[in-house]
Amino acid sequence: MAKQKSGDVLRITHTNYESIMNGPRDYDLVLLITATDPRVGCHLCTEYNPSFIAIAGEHAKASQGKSNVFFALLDFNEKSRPIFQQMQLQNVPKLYYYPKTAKPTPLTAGFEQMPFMEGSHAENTVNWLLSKFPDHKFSVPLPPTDYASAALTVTFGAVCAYVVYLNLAKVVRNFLGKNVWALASTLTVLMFVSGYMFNSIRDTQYMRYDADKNPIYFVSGHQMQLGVETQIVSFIYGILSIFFVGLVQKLPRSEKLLKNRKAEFAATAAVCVAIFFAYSLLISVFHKKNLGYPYSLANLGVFF
Amino acid sequence: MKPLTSVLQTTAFALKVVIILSIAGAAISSRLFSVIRFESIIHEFDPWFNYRATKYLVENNFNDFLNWFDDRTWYPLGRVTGGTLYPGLMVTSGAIWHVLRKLSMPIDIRNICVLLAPAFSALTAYATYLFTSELKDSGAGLLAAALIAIAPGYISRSVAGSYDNEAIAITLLMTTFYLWIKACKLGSIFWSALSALCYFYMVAAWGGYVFITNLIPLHIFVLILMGRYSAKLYVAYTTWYALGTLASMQIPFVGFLPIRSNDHMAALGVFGLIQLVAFGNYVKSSTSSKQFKTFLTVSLVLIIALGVSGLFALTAAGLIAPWTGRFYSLWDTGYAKLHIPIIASVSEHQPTAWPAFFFDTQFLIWLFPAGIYLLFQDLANEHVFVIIYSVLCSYFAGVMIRLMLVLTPVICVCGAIAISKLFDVYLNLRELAATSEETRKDRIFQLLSRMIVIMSFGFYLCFFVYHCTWVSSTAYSSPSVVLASRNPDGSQAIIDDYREAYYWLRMNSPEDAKIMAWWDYGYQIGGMADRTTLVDNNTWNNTHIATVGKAMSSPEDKAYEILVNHDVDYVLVIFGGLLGYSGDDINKFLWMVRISEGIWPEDISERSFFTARGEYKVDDQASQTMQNSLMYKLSYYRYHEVFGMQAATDRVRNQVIPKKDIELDSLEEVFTSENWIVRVYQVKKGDNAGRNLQEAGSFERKAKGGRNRSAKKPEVGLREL
Repeated sequence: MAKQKSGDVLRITHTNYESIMNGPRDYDLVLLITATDPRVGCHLCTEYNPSFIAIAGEHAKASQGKSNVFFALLDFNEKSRPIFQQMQLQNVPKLYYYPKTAKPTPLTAGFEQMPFMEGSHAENTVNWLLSKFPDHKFSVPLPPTDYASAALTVTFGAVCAYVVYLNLAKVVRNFLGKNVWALASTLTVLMFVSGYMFNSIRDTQYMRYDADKNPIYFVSGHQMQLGVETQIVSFIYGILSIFFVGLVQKLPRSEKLLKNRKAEFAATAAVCVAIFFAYSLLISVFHKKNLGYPYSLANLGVFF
Repeated sequence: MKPLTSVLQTTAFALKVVIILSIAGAAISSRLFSVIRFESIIHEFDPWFNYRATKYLVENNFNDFLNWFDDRTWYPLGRVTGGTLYPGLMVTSGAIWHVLRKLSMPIDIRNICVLLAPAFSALTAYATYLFTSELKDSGAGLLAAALIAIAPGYISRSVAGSYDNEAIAITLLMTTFYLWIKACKLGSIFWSALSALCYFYMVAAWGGYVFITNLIPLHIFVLILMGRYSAKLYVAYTTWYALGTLASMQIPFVGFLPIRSNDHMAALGVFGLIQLVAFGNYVKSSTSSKQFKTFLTVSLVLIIALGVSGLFALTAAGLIAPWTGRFYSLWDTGYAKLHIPIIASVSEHQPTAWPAFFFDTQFLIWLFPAGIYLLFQDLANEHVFVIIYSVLCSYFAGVMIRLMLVLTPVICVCGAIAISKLFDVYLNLRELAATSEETRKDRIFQLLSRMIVIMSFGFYLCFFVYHCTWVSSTAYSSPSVVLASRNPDGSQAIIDDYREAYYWLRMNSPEDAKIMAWWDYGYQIGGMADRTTLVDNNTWNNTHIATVGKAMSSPEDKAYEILVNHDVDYVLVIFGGLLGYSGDDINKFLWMVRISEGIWPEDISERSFFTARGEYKVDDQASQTMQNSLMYKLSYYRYHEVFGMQAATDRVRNQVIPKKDIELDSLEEVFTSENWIVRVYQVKKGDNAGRNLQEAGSFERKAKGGRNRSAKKPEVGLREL
């Protein structure tokens, strides 16, 4: 068994799965069944995989290779597809625990499964493992310290600080300037009203793909949102706001336009039309979220 | 010339009055959809408690109300209701009732409660008018008033029948802010005292007063940082803080919080700071600048060190309460999810996705940032206030969907200012008339460019009106006690199961019967059925709620012990499977499990309610624990009988319920409403022969030879759909 091990996690392939998973075993096996291939599009799999490998590594380190608990990983690909069929798996990821056994067991039995619940999956895994193997050590590994990156950050920070220090007067003048604050407040508000906090609290997906691999930018429902929606919507809001401010502040104050009324009309009309289309776009996007919304301006929903 | 100006002024004044009155009319009438469609009825959950408390207030006197100990909820603990509620709302409607009665207009207290929110929304529009007029001019004020009058974000909490604290709180919020701005501008003790008075009313009315408690100090703090300290600010803030804090401590529920809870520390800190700044200003005016610099550095370091260590020491000594849970969940959004399932389970505490912002404010949401930017162009003290309010509140509204309500007024104000600035530029007819030396062609183009702007924004404003009417009519006007649906032929069908069941309880159960239901329905049972409940929407005792959750998620025999120990006579469950009503107890069931698991992790485990695949199912794959739980049994008891020979489908979860009989030994079905939404079970008292109920039940089943129940079951054939 130990011979087949490369690193802390044993890779299960179509050549070795029978000997490992069918038993008999004189060791305990913790098996992660996953699909990290981006074509499968299993978000949780790719997210969870590194924590699993890290937990296995921590365990190997803590037990100095003397542990009787082995970690194994079965990844979905063309070659391993028959194993998945034999195990009758519909969805991944799954974390199974195969206890020691004296006689061979079929693939579809003889294991316990960890539920993927809410919260930190790494922590849940460790707790689950601890409940199965109370006398073994498991822990959530800390991310490794990246000294190079830290050094780079410190250097960069120091250089920045020095530059700022050299131009202190200028920086202070600009920093305290009204427009910087105006921009900062406006952008903050823009970010919040387009659902940024929803993304950060719910850890939403950035984007989705349908069966034909076409991107999906909007999911319907008032309490559903993708990460990209916030970006698109805040962009539309921002464009509309900029046009509006231009209409109020820039156009009427432009010396050139005051002299040439025709040009003024052209510019004003252009901005008004731009606002109209941006607003139409916003409402078309809103139609994707609220299917029953009865009103629309120009229908621009075809773009999404 | 003089008479003309005075005539114009009078006309302008009269026009303003007419406009404000029409806005008030629009505000009230757009909130009456539910009264017209259904009837004058109190909505949802919390309003039922407020209504019950108001009835208590008008039936007894004010002192009795403040000392009210309610033994009809939280059985057997009871609740010190008078000391744990914000009395502002009830006192307001009580006062209105008394005044109207003095004017010999006796009106049913229910109608006052139902119509209080629309009436106050008209006042909100007026307060917003005053507030915005202070920021720009009365034109912008009128526009802001019109916008807030119909903005769905505010209508959502103030339709007729939604008799909740927020109904009057937004009015008070805007009034307090108006008075505060006035006080800052004038540096007047009078206005500041009025502001404090209004703040007191706000504290009495809604827990959200903490927002004001932090916003006003923050305003002062930012102004000090901007170097705008002045004696006017000193007068305004010290008056407001001293009077406001003292007044707010008079509310029993608030008590000593303003000097102990961390939520209020910012106000205290700024109060200290402004004294120091005032003192520093005095020292500065009477010493040389070099001496002053040393003085400043030394004192700053000292003060910061003292302040921070003092805060830590007091918190460590337990003299200052830690951040309260609900407030904490605003800052550390992970905290609530992990530690307080009861907060995470309330939909009002969910974060807000972007459609909700758009839905609630439509085109104002993109005028909002533009409005903030335009405010920066003037940037007087009061504009700083609005900017802080906007930034802070948009964060809060993003974290907690309920706070959309507080954000809506400022969105309307900013939007109104933005549009008003646009109209100032493009509706300026004087300029158009003055440019005389230009050619005619130029004139036409000038006129055209104005027309296109005015017309397009006029159109957007009209569109906004349509949007608001549609939203408030379709989304925010459902009483949720009575549901509306459509028959196959398109006619309206009213689903009145809740009231049917509560009325049945009121008529058929003993007056001191104790009813166990999930806490969502506590207030309604208290208000409509007038029976004692174990838990209600005032979720003050997590353990007690967990007890109910445990009873619901335990197998029948264990649940029966809990029921008997708590003197429960009836158990009430909400079941939407027949109708496809998704807000039912089976969908809320996981929260019951989670909350009780938080207290008894050894008895209840959320995991065991899922299938082996980790799915939440109610069909034949459902886990054994799930199928044995009391909630499952009470929901699906005799469900398949409705379907006769067909498969019994749960229309919410789209799953087929197993056809085997569910046996209940210790409870018996006494009532099931027309659409099966409410099911009421009576808890059996001990067996006559002294057996335990399980034994008796299984004996009876054997004796009768399989399934043969008593004859009094209702004819289910009639109910088949």
